[in-house]
Amino acid sequence: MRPNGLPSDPLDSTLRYATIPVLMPPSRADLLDPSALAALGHLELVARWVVDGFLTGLHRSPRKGFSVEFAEHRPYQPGDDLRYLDWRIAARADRWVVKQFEEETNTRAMLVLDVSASMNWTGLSTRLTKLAYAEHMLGALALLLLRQRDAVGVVRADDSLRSVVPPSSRSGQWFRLAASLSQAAGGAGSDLVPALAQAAHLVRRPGFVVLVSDLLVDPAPVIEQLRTVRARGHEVLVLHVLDPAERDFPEGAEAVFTDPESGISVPATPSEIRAEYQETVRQALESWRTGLLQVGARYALAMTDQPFGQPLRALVRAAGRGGMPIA
Amino acid sequence: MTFLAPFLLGLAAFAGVPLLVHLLRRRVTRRVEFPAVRFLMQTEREHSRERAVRNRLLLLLRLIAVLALVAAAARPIAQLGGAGHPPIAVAIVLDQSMSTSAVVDGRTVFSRLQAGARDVAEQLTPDDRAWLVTSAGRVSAGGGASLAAQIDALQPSAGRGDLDGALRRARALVDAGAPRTPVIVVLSDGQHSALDSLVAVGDVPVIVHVPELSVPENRAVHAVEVEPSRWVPGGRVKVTISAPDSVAWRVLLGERTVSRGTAGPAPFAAPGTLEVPAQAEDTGWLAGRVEVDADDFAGNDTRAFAVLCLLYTSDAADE
Repeated sequence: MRPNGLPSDPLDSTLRYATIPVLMPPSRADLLDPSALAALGHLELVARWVVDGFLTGLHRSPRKGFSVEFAEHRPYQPGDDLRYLDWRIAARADRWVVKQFEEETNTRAMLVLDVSASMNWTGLSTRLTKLAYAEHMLGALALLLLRQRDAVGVVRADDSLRSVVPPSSRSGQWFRLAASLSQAAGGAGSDLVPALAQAAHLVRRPGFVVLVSDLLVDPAPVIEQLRTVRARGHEVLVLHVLDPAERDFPEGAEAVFTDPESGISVPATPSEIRAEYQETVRQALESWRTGLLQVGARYALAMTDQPFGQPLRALVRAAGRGGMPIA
Repeated sequence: MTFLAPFLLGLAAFAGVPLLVHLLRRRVTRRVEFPAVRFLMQTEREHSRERAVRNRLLLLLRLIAVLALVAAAARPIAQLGGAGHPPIAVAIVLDQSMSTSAVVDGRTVFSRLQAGARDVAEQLTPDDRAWLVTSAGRVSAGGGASLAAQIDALQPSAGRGDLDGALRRARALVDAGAPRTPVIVVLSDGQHSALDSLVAVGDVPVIVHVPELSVPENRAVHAVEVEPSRWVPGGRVKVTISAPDSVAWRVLLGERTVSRGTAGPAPFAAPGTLEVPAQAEDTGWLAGRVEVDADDFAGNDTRAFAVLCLLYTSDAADE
């Protein structure tokens, strides 16, 4: 079976031309339009192209050996391992900082994907849904980690846990992850707290928990749960996925806007409310960023019209600050 | 304030349209799935009062806009300060009597009256209504340019005219121009004999323009009578003449001078009379005239007459 269910008739020259883009991976897939890229192949293939393109764009080698190299200091935060506290600086300057290392030891990462109804939405038919975008993103991230022999697992959740793939670095894990990520979307509501708890539980020693969600939930329980995750010694990265229409508000005449999860309806005229709505969204995003930083979690925003390389780079940069052994 | 087209005020009912739109706009049928409704709700919560005030102000502005359009269509008029004038209904009464043909300082009095009337006509706006009424009995209506052209085409008449009648017509016309402000403008040389009686114009303002001119010295042929009524073949011509000093006179039948002489000074109010014998050279109705030397008021320097001649003599023809 050929990818994407393309016909295998070699005599059909018209269709043969159509197969060419699929069979020839773009050199910098991480910088291409995500919806165009996703149309070229299924998740596994696209994730490979994105990772290959992403690594091509990096100037540093992903293979760094097993040495432990000091990288930088950062302020101490509750939950940090006291072993990495720089006692000399504490004694000399009364400043509490921890040492960070670019270590290449195997680590464990759990990817938590919000598959609620709100994620399965796009503001434009030619754009990927937030869920499809997040699946491709996480696929690329998982592949990147697995190539470094890190253990990676996935938790998919909406109002309950939908699927769990425990972290592993063994061969075949990539296909299990890809299969899990490719599953159909789940139920209506969003409850990220059990998913985060499950993810933290599955990463036994300090590792990474990556949450990918549109965060259309009450912030307090999620941030509180992330505080608990951080307290267990895990680094937390949050990738906030938004459709541009959610940030800017859709164009058009007056309409009744209905939440697919709660069913709540609000009548509004876009032209009247757009500027105020955008300000509300800006404040909400800022509130998430501040709240997450306060519990020591890293935050990155991804719009579904951005090439996959941009949020992937933001994640890697955020992970790098936390000592995540990527690139 | 009043309106030139008050029936258009009925269009004010259209002010109900924005009101209706405002009330019906909440009945929205288009439904859009939108996950970020929580942001929308928060926006509504925080800005609903401000938006309600804005919407009401917008509604008010729309109502005012519709009412202003209706008011403009109804063409309101009012007396306001500043330049220009409110719409008026004006009758320009122009004295066209013979006395206006007097020449003063090289220019006829009538041309001065014409200039004044043209000034009035040129200041008219499209909202005004105007009529030209002459003492000769002519009445015409039109815009400023049209009236100015008609004024330019006028000439002094050969008679005294009827300024009283012209004023009465003007009064009736300006009444028909309501609700515009009625005005009557009279342009006359101010001859004391111009008005026979007082004309009641009610509360209509009358602006009278009389050029300040020195009265020219006038030599006039007041009247001509022929006696007897039928000449067989001759008769007498009785001529009444006034002049500030002595003046030469001539009696002509056709283009033939049948008599001439000089008359002594006689004031306008008490002209002198003289009788002149004359002989005809032809039979039938003959046209004749009496002339005095021309002066600045040429209108009464000549007076015509006609006489029926039944016989003529060869002697007369020889003469």
